[in-house]
Amino acid sequence: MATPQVKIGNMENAPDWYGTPLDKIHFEWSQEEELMLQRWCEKIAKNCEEEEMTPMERYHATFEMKPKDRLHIEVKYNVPYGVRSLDSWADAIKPGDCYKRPKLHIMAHLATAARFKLDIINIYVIHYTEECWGADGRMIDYGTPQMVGDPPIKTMEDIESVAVPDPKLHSLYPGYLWAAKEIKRIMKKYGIADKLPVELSFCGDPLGTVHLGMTGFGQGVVMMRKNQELFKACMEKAAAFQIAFGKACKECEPDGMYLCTYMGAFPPKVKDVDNTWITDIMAKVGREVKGHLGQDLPLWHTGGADGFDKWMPLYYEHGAMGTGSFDGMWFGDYLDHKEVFNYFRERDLYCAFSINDHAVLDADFATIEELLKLRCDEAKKHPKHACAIGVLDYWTPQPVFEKTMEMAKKLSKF
Amino acid sequence: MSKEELLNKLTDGMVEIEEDEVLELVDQAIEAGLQPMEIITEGLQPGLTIIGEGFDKHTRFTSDLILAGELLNDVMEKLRPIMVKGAGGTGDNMVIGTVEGDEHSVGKRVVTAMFTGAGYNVIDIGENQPASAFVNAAKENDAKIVGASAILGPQKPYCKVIHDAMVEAGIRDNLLFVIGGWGMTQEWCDNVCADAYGDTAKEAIEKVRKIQAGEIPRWNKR
Repeated sequence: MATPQVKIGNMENAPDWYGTPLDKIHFEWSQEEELMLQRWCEKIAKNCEEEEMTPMERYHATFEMKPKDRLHIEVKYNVPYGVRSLDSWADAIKPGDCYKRPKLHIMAHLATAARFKLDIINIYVIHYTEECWGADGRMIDYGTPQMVGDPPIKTMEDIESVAVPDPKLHSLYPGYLWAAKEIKRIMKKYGIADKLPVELSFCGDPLGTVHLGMTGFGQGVVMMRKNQELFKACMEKAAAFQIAFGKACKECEPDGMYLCTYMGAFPPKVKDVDNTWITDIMAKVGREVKGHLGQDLPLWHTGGADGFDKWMPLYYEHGAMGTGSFDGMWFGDYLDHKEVFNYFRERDLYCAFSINDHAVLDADFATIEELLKLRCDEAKKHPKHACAIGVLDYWTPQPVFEKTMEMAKKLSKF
Repeated sequence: MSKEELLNKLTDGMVEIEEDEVLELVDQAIEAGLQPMEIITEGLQPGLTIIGEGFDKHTRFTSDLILAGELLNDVMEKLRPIMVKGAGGTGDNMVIGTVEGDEHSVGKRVVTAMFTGAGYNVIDIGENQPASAFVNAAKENDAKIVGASAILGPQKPYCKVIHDAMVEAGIRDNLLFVIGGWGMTQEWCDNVCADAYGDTAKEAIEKVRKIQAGEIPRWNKR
C-alpha cells in the first residue's frame, strides 16, 4: 500500500497567508490597532477589579475546589457574536472576516470581553478540516468554511491513502494558533493575562471531523450503520488529528481547553450496531491531550447534542471522563439539568449547564432568570461546577446579553 | 393487503427507518395504484411526525432525523417519475435549497416531500448553496417558486442575498420566494424580501397557494 499523503484541497476565498506554517506567520499591528488593544485590555482590567475575585482567581478556585465569591460563568459567545462588538451591530464585519484575518479574530475576543465583562475568553475554532481530507473548501461570510463538492471518503482506500494534516503547517490552523498565542502575548503586555482566563478549543471531536471533513452528515450516519469498518477507520484518523491539534494548542499557553462533541446525535447501540467503541477513541483523545497539557490545565468537553445522557456512563466507564482525561463537561440546554449536575457531582467532575438560547434571543427575562436560578442553585452544590450561558445566537441584542450576564453574576453569588 | 394496511406499514417502516422495507412497500403502493400524495402524507409523513415527536421527547436521535431524511430522499426518487399535475397543485417547478453556510437538510426534505405530494415539481439543489446556485436552478427549471432553508442564525440574512441575486438576474418578479427554518418570523420574511415563510411545510403550501390566488399580497405589495 502506498504511503498516505496529506491531501489539502483548494480553499476558495482563502486569505493570503493560507497554508503558511505557524513559525512563518507574522502580522504587525498598526499604531491605531495597538491603541485599541491597549484600551480593551485596560477596560478588562477595570472590569476585573469590580468584584471580590478576578475571573482568573475564580476560574482556578473552581477547578481547584477552593472557596470563591460566586460561580464562574462560561459563555459560548464564539466569533460570530464577537464580531458584533467590533462593528456596533452594523452587520458590516462578517464572522468570516475574523476567520481570514487573525488580528480581527483577536480584536473580536478582546472587544467582547471588555464590553460584556466576561469571566473568560473562549477562543472557538474557525474550521473543521473541511478541505483537509481530499475535498475542496470555500470560505464564506457568515460561517465556518464549507466543503465543496462530494465528501472525499467513501472507501477504505480513500481513508487509508490520506495522511493526518499537521495543525502547525496546514490549512487555516496555523492562523488559529497564531491568534491564540498572540492574544496571550497582548494580554501579558497589558497586564491582564493573570486576571482573565483564556480557553482554547480543538474541535470538532472525531465524529464532527468525520462528518464535516470526510463523509458528510447523511453518508456518515449511513456509514455508521452499514460500514462499521470504514467508519472506525475514519474515526481513528480523525482522533489522530484531534490529538495533534490539542497538543499544538499547549504552546499557546491557554488557561484551559475544551473539545466539543456531538456524541448523543446517535445512541450507543442501534439495532445490531454497537458504537460503544467510540468511547475508547474519546478516552484516547482525552488521555493523550491531558497527558501533554499536564494535570493542572483544565480540559473538558462541551456537549452539543441531545441524547448524550446515553453516552455519559460509558464515557466515565471507558476513561473518557475523569482523572487523566477530560475533567468534565459544559452542556447545552438539552437534558435534565438536575440529573446532569447530580451525575457530575457524584463523580467529582467539572460541570456547567447552559440556559436555553431561545430565551436569551427572545429577551424573555422572566424565563432567563428562572433558568439561571435553577442551574445556579444546582451548580452551587459542588465547587467544580459553574454557571453557563450560550451558545449566543448571532441576533441576540447586546443589551439582552448584558442584562443576562448581570443576572447570572447576581444569581451565582454564594 | 388493504390500502389502510399498506399505509400503516409504511408509517411503521418509516418510524423504524427500515430502508429496504419502506422502499419495497412504496413499490407495492405504486402497484396498488396509490397516489404519491397519499403515500407521502398518509404513509410516510405520520412516521416522520412520530420520529420528530420522539426527538422532542429525547427518545429519538439526530441520526434518526438524518436517516429518515435520507430514506425520504430515496422514496422521492422512486415517486418523482410518476408525479403528475394534480392533487390541488399547479405542477409548477419549485427550486429548494439550504443557504450557504448551513448544512441542515431534514426540514428541507420534509418540505420537498410535502410540496411534491401537493403537485409541485420540486428540484432540491442541496445544502450550503450560494445564491448563484438558486438563481441558476430557477432559470434552468423555469421555477415559479424558490424555497430557501436557513436554520443557523448568522445564515438567515443570506436569504436577502438570494433575493437580491434573483432581482439582478431579472427573475424575481416571475416567482415566489419562500423561506423557512428555526426562528423564521414575519419580521425576517419582510427583512429579506421573501413572499412568505412557513413554520411548517403545510403552512408554507397554504401560503403559496393563497399568494398565487391573490389572497395574500406578495412581498412588494405588503
